[in-house]
Amino acid sequence: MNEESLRPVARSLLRSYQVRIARSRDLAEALARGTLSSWSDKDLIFNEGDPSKAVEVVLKGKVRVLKRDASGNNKELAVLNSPAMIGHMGMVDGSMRSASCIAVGSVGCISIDQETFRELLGETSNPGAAFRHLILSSLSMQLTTANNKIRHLIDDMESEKRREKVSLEDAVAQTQQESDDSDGESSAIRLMKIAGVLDGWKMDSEGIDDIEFVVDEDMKRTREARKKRG
Amino acid sequence: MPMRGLGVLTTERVRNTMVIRELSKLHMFKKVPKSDLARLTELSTASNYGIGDCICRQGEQATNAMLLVSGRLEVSIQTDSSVKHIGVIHPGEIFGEQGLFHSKGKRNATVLANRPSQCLTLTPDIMRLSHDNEAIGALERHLIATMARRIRSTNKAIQLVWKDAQQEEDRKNAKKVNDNSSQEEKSGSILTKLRSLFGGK
Repeated sequence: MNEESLRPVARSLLRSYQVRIARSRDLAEALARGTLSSWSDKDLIFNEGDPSKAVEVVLKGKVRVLKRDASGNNKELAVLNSPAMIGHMGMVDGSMRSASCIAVGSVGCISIDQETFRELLGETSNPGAAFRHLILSSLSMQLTTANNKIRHLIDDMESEKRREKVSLEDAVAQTQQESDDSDGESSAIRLMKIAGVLDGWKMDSEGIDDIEFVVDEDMKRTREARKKRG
Repeated sequence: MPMRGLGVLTTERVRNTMVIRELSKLHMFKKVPKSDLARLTELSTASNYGIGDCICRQGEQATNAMLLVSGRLEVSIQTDSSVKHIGVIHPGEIFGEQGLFHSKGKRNATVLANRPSQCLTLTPDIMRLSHDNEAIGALERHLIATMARRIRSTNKAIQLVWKDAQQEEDRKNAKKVNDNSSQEEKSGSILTKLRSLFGGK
């Protein structure tokens, strides 16, 4: 795929992974080194426990992420919209796939294999730097989102304990007010989702709205040029 | 006056040369040219700490990351009633890296020097130059590995607590008994584990 056609995807990726310092043209150049692959509805993109062979950058369609719980049942962790990056954790540390991914509708991806991934991480070049910054921002989001969710869980459990001490009637009233964050999910489900966030399977940015957006320097320059032109 | 200015310049140059020497001993910079290390040293600030000095405190605003060049540091977190030591930082390790990505982030732990130590302060601006500086590229690769390790260890801790929570829930479902006392026991034990792993009120 040519770099120019990948510019919009690169720009969206930089925005959704809140990359502070990278240009979309550099990231597009990095992505162009991958190969195109496609899946039909309900196709298995990869299975939990498989060796990690590539990072998939979802260009088109949706991907359903499933993880086995302690009883061996598949639980849905997230449905990811394009553009999204999946499977990068295994590439970073050589671990196996920590969840299964299934295509929802027709899905198009750019696969960046191990060799290209290593090359990009090791390069002293603009595409290399943009790709490293994408990975770094993703890892940072994973850690921050998980930490925030753990903190919410601890706070909710503290409230739950306090509620147990008040009368049943008061407790019911309080539950209606305080359980908004958990959406009625059990601690086990919430912990499973936190584990999913850590693995990079759910990129919602809940609780990290304090990230400074610089996003795309190309866009910034275009905006500045437009302003100058009046 | 000119002589004094020259003196400051020479002191700075000597200090930078010593920092470069220490940096080149670190594994991540083994293949990095000295000129790139010199540029990294110019762009960052080296600070020295004595035993017991505080490098950063839990709850403080985080605007940068630190690289321990030499010495040894101790990491602790404040829980509801006590201070818990959670690890030691060795030369070549980066800490406080969330400060590179979040403009209003806070320090999650307190870091004290337990040996005379030297740290390099890394600001987000340094990363803008990683496309033509091998030292900064090496630093970023090291950061990726560090964060991946941190994610894995947090995940491991979460998986353990999750497993316990799952088993408790399965047990409860099997019995189909809505017993208030067992519920209290469940949330209490999971909460205690989470607190001991991640701190809390």
